Amino acid sequence: MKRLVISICILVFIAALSVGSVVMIKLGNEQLGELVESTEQAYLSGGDTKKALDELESFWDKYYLALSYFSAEPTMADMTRAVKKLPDLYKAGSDDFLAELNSIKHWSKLLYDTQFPDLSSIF
Amino acid sequence: MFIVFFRAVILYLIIVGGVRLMGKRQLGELQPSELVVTVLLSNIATLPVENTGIPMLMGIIPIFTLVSLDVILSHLLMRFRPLRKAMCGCAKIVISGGRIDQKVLRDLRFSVDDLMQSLRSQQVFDIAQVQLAVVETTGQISVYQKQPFQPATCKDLKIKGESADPPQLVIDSGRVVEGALTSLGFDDKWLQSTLASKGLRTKDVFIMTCTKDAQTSIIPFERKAAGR
Repeated sequence: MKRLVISICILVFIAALSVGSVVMIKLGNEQLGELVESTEQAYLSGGDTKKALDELESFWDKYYLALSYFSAEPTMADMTRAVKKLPDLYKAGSDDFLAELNSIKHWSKLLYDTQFPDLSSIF
Repeated sequence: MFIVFFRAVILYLIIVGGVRLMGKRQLGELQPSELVVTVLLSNIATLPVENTGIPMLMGIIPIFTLVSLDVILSHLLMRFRPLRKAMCGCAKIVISGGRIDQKVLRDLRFSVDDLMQSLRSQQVFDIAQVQLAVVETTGQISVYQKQPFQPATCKDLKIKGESADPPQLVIDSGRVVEGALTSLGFDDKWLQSTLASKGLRTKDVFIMTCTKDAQTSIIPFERKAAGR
């Protein structure tokens, strides 16, 4: 009976951890989306884009570390590459700047979709 | 390199803990569900060790999930007979009254060689000696021999004898085995006096066994024995 109780506790803990990880990704993505939006707004309106980029980069570094405990998706490497490219693209005044910001939004949605347990992600 | 080392150590401890949680049955003969869990565990455990890009949690979570499910399933199997039959199958009689049931043998996909091999492993070399043979859910065959071929017992030979427990290990490598003296009905004082009468201390003894009627067998450490 002791083993049964331990096993049920372990399963409950794993279920809680799994739900926690999905919630963490959802909240993290929302925050990331807001930072990407504010960077985009700053860039388009001629605001302080550099500050917005620093905030975005600093948030991503922390968020990536937290994500790496739960996921090994290649999407995360793509997102890191895009975030790290942004300052150089901004300095060069490249048109790809906005495209990279959009791709970060797309990849963050993809990351959430791969972690959310629905039929398409399970099978 | 260090990451692989640490991961291997952590997963080793987790797997040992997991198998311990599954209980002693896992270490003996495996039921189908237990075999599946054991095979899966060994595969899953190697993934985060081989590939450092995979988070440790990706290995730990499935291991604990499988182990926990196995424990819960085994409790359910104990409680619900139909479920047990569905998951583990049931024992099948392959030889009854000395006759092989060929249909059951075919259903089990047991060849005659398999059957003969299992009989030989139980020291039965002539199928004519078998009264009943049952294929257990673990795949092992249990054999009941015809009366004339069964080993003679004390009862058959009308020899009277008392049933007594076998000797119990009391000292192992210089240390008293916990609970052994109590279960035999002795105490530490008795042990010390018994050892003292032979000129020994607890730490000098490699193995000591004892029965309930105080019959002891003592093997001292070799260095001590050589000194005597």
